Amino acid sequence: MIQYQKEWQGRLVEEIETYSDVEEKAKRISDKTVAYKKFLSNRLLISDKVDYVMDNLGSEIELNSIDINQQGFSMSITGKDAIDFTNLIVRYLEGDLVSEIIINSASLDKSEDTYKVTLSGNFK
Amino acid sequence: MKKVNEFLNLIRRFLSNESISIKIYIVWGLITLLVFGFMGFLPVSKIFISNIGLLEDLYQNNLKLEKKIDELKIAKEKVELVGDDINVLDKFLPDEFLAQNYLVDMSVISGQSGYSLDSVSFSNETANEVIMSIRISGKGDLKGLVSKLEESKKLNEIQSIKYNVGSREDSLDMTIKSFIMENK
Repeated sequence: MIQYQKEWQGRLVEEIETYSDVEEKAKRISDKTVAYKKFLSNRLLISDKVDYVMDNLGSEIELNSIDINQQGFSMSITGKDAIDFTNLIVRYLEGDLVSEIIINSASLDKSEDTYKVTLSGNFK
Repeated sequence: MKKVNEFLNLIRRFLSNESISIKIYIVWGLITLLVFGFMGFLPVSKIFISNIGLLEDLYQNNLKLEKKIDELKIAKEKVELVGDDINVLDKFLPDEFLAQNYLVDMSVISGQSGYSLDSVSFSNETANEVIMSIRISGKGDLKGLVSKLEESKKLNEIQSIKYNVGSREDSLDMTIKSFIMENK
């Protein structure tokens, strides 16, 4: 009886060994799927922030340069009217993405009658 | 010698009486049965009882193995079914860092957004991350570029963007982290 069970077990083990590649492949898919989901959930996206900053600039303000990352942004802009900058800051703060805006510098170019402003903002 | 012969003759005479010899044989048989049968039965029965437990364990293990084989058969069918999708998964999350693949991807995405790729540099900071510093120029669509980079097959995370608007063309420096899954 015991010998019969042992022989049966031997046959089953042999059969299982033929599936070794399946187990390896399934594990690889599983590991990769888990890792993909993990990376996907940990990934920080910036497109919404870029869209927000760019879309709110408006047609009155001209962008010279912008540095943007996950924490905040700083930009150099020019405009003809000082009120346009105030409106821009209000637009940025009205939304739910920017927590504060800091005006770093502002200057008037009399030859072209334009204001040049550098400001920075922090994302919530 | 004479005494020995006398003794043997005595025994022969004694055993020639059938009723006595039958009784002796029966008693002898019973003693043999008692000594070898009963005394031997105990250890044999102990081995037999322990073997019943072993037999049961073997049987249960074999049933588990059969169940495992059934599960493996189902898993094999499923793996064969998603066989082609494994290649798709590899595109989303490569097993190894191949600079040429990233170079092609960045060049295509830049072109689609109206920019041209000026330079790319890579650094493999950890086993699961590649940091790319790219410089592109042109008059393109910044928002479109950022969206395309984040929606691309590879898992990209844009860490920083430096965008300068020029009269003829804009310049853009970006740091992008891309996820890979290196086999350890």
